Amino acid sequence: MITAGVDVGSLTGKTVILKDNEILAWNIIPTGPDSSETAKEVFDMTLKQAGLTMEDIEYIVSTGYGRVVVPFSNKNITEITCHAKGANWFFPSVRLILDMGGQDCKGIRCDDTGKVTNFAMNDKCAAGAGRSMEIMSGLLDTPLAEMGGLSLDIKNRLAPLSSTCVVFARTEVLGYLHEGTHKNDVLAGACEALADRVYTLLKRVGIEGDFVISGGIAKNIGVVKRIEQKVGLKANICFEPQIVGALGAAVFGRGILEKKTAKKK
Amino acid sequence: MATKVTTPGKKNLQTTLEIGKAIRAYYEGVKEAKSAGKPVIWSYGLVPREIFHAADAPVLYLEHLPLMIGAKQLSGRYIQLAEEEGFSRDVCAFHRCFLGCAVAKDRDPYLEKLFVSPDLIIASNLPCMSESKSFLYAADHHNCPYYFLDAPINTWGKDIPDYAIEYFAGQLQGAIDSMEEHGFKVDMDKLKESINLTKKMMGLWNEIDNCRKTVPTPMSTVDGITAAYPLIQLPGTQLGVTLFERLLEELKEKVEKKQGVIEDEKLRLMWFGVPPFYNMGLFNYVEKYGAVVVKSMVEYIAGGAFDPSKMDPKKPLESLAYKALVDIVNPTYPNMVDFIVKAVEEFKIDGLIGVVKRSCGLLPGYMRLVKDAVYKDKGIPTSIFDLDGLDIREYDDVTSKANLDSFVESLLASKRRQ
Repeated sequence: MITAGVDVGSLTGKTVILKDNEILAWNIIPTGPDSSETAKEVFDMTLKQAGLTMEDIEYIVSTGYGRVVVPFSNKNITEITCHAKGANWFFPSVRLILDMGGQDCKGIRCDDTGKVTNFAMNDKCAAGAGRSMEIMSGLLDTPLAEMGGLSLDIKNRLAPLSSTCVVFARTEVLGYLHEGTHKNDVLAGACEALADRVYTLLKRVGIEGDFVISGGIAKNIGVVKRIEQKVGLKANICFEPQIVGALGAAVFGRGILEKKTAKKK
Repeated sequence: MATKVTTPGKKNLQTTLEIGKAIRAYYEGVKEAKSAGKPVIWSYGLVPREIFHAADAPVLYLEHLPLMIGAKQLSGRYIQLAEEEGFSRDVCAFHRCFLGCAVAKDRDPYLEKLFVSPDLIIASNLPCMSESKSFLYAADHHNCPYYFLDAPINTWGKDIPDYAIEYFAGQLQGAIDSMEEHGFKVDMDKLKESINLTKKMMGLWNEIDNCRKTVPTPMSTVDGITAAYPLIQLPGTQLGVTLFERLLEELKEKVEKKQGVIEDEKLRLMWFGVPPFYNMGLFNYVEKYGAVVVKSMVEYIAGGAFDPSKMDPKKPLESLAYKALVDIVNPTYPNMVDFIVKAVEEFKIDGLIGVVKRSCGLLPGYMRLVKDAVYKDKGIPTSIFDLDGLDIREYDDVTSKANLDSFVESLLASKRRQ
C-alpha cells in the first residue's frame, strides 16, 4: 500500500511517500508564489527519488495552508489534524505537540491514537513563528542553522526582546547592536522571546504527557532548550521535524485506503 | 480603501429579509425627520429605547451604525479617521468607527443615507465605560447637549436589589427630563403601553428561541443576528411585535416540516464574541461540513436575559431599569458564564467558537471562564482565536478559516468515535 502526504505551508512545501507504514521518500522545498506549482514540484521530486510514478500512489492527502489548491490530492485535511497524526506515528506516546511553522505556531493536544483533543494557534503576528527567526538571521548576519547554538553561548543576559511585534523587535535589535551588545546576547533575547510566546500558547492547551516539537524551529537548539526549560519536559524531535504534517497526511491516506479495502471484503 | 474578499451571510428566512427592510425604513425615517426640522438623538448601548419611542424621537443608534457600514466593508475607513483624530487602536473598534463617522467631512453615499447630526446625545456606561468619553468627544464636535445615564455595575449577582433599580429608574427620569428640556415630549401613557409591547416581544423571542433549539435548527445565527434587531431598536413598538409574530409563524412551519438550515445537520455551534459583520459568510463557511452556527452570544446582549413577567406597565421606569441592569453584559462574570452554559445545553451545542476583539475591554475577559465552564459542566470544547468583527483591516481570512477548519474537523472526529 503506497500513500503520499503533501503539506503546502507558508514557507515550505513538503511531501512524504509512505509504503506499508515505512517512509519511502520525502522532500522539502521553499514555497513559491504558486502553491499548486510548489506542490507539484515537491511531489514530482519525491516520486523520482522513490523511483515511482503518479500511478503507483494509491491515495494522496494534502494539508497545510495550500492544501485546497493541490490538484492531484484525493482529500485535504487541516495541518493541525495531520501534525497530531504524524507526531503520533513518530512517537506513539505523545500527548502534547508544538508545531512551529514559518508563519504560525500551534499548540496541540492529542490522544493515544493521534486524534486532536484541543489546540490553539498563535495570534496574528509573526513574532511567535519561524519568520521572526529568519528576520533576525538576516539582521544579525547569522545563518539560521547557527543561531540556536550561538544563543546558548552568551556573555550578558538580556531581557527577552519585544514579543508583541517582529517589526518592533527588529528596531530593538538594531538599538542593541548600536550600543555594542554582543550578537550572541541579542540572539539569546530573540530565542527567549519566542520561547516565552510559545510557552503561553502551550499553557493554553495544557502541558501534560510526552512532548513533541515539529516544524522548522525544532532545528533551533537555542529555542528548543529554552522551551524545554519552561515546560519542564524533554522535547522529542524526529529526524526531520518539517515533514511531520506531510507524514500525518500520508498516514491518513493509508487509514482511508485500509477502510475502503475492509469494506470491499 | 480597497476591500477584502469576504462574503455576505446567506439568510434562509423570509421574515429576516423583511426585518432588513424595516431597518432601512427606520433610518430613512430618521433622515426625513431631520430634514423636516425635527431634533435627533444619538444613543448607544443599553439605553432603553422605549423612552425614545414614547417621545416619537428619531434616534441614531451608534452601535448599529458601525455594524451596518461594517457589513458594507466601509468600517475600516472610518476607524482610520478616528485614529487620525488621535484615538488609539486600543479604543473599542465600534467607538472608533462611530467617532470616524461623526467627524468625517465627506461620507460614502451609503453612510450619508444613514447619517444625521445629533441635537442631543444620551449615553450610558452599559455595557462599556469608554462609551461615556467617546460620546463626550462627539458631543463637543457637534456642539450639542449630552446626558449620561449612570448604570450601577452588577455586584449583586442574579437578583437585582431594589436600590439599584431605584437608582437607575432615577437616571432614566433624568434622561427624560433632559429630552424634554431639549424639545422632546415623552408621553407617559405611551411609555406604559410600550412596556406591554416589550413584554409581548420578549415572550415571542423566547418562543422563537425554542423553535431554534429543535434539531435540525430552522434558523442559524446569520438570520438570528438580523432578527435580534427589533430587540435593539424596536422594543416597545407594534412593528417589533408584528415582525416577531411573523418570524415565529415561519419558524413553526419549518419545525413542523423538519426543515433545517442545512440538509444533514451534523454539528451545532455557538459563536461567542463579536460576529464578523464584514464577512457574515464566515458563519455559512462551516456549513460545508454539516455544521450550523445555531446561536451567537450577541443575540443575548440584544435581549434574552430578562424575565418578561417582571415588566410592569404601572412601573415603567423601574421595569426598564430592570431590563437594562439584568443584561448579561452588565459585568458580573458568573451571570454571563452561567447563561452561556445553560444555552449550550438547551441549544444542544457541540462546540463553542470564541473570537477575541483585541480592542474590547469587556468580552475577552469572559473567554477563558466560559471555555472552562462549558467544558467542565457539559464536556463541550471551545476554540478561541483573534478576530475583530468590525475592523476589517485586521481581518485574516486564511487564519480564521484555518481555525474553523481544524476545530470542526476535530469535533466531527470526536462525533464519529462516539
